[in-house]
Amino acid sequence: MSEGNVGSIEVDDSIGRADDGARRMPRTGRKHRSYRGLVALAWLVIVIICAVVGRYFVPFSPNAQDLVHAYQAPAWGAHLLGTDQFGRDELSRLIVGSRVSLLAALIGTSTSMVIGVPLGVFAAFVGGKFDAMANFVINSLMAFPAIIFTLTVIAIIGTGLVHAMIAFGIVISPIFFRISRASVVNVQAETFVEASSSIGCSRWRIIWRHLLPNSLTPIVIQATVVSGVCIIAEAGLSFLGFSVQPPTASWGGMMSTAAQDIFQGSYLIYFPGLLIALTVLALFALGDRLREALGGTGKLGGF
Amino acid sequence: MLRLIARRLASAVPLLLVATFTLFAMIDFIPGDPAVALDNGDPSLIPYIRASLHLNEPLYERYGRWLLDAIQGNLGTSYSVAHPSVTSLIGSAAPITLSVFALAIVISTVVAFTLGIIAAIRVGRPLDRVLSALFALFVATPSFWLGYLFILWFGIDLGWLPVLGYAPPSAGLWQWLSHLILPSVTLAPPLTAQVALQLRGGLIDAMGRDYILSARAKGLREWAVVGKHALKNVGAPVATVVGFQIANLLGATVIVETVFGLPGIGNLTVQSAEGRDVPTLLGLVLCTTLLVVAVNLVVDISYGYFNPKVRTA
Repeated sequence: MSEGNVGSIEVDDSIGRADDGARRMPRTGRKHRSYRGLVALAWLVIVIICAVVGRYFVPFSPNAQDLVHAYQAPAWGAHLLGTDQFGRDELSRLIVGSRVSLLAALIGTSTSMVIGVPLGVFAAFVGGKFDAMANFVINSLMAFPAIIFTLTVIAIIGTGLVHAMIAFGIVISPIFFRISRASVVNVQAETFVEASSSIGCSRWRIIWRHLLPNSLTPIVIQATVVSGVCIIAEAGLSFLGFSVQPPTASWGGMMSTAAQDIFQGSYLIYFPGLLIALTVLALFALGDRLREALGGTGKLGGF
Repeated sequence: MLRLIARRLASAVPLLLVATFTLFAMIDFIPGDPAVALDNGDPSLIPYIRASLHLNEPLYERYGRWLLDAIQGNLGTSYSVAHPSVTSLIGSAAPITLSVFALAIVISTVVAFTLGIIAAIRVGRPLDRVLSALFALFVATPSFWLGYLFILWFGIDLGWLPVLGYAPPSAGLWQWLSHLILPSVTLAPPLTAQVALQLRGGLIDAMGRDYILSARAKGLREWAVVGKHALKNVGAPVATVVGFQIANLLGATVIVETVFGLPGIGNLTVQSAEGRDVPTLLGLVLCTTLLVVAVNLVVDISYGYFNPKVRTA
């Protein structure tokens, strides 16, 4: 079972051992798990719908202030989840705020993939000194604590959602370097790669038609997990004030205002965090389910 | 053993050089002139400030100068208002962060070993599945949210523990500890989950091996089989996970220290990033990277304890 890899963003060989041992596990709970994958997917679809068209069906305008009705506790009728310090409707802000988390996942994950995957594939394909060098530099980058390095990069390129997530994407790109390199090295050992090079396929054709498609599974699985990591990171950066700026609604930013109002409106603190946790959990579960569906260890995939 | 330590230390040096130089070069691209930020509104001072900060020299000379100073323990002067030395800023923040770390590691190790062993013994049963879900939740929960829930429940509603600030050990042992408990408990869950999952996987693997069979066959009690034979063979991968997680723990501490108002490394990082205080950030990256390297060195050395075959390597 692949629970062993939940949320592990490290591509460590020893982590795979959890899968080896788990094979002896009785194969009960199969149904239970596919059910879990479906629930996770359903939740993610809801979040995506909220992010894309949410602002057209929110009960209140998310930024409309109504100071007379500030700090209203959740109640049936008017404000389902209450109002914040400016009397803004919490539910509407949560719905619209999903947009920021989704964008964060997209920007962060694609940045790190754009940097990590080509480098990893290239390093594995070329091998030799370049591979050794790239490996060394990447390992050096892995020694940096991600958030501290991200804050340094943000100090360089500036704040805001896009900047913050590009910075984070750069910092975590070693994850994709390592996983794509490892899986290309695995695929390269296959006979069909040797066969295609022996019939005279060009290097690019081998990379595009053979290496890349066959190494994609672990990369895709990792991308779902990294999306979750990006959402947590964005929430943290919003919370610290380096990402989305007020009054734009974001789950991390709402946490931060709720924290300042902890005495007046303690109910405000529960929902943003709950939504972040649920969404990240759903992404991890989806990654898990994909790993199961596409082939056990996530090393080569089921092709 | 000594040779292993020496070799690991030697391999850490180029890593630190590459890491700091990358950063140093990147910082050179920061738009804006630090001298302009420091001139107190008097443009005539700018040339003097540039000269005193050596800003007119080429990149490699400045890096060399910084490196030579850093080796001697001088990390330069902060750009913040009072211009304190970076070494003293980090020196006063580090003990706070390190004590939170120590407590968080102790808490998560104890919890992770308990839960991981239970999950491994009950593998596939409902209890194991509940624990697996719990571990996933531990990783997915944002630490600042957890921090505020703890503040709300244990600090405000129940009033058991202080929620803000720090008390030095000189103020009394309980005073000191009480300010560290909530931050440590907030930091612990992701580490707990990773260690417990690794432990569970490793134990399940180990319990199927022949040496366990022979240990059972010679009539050892179950706790001796698990505790002495299985657990020791899981030690190395578990230690590896702890080593990996130190970097993540440092990341989480940035947020947790902000939540609890602890004047540690994390808080210093946020302030320096807000103020674009480059020398302090550089010093922080160097020190935190050193910490990560040091912890991983200890992890490497611990392999020798868990697996005697490594000792001669």
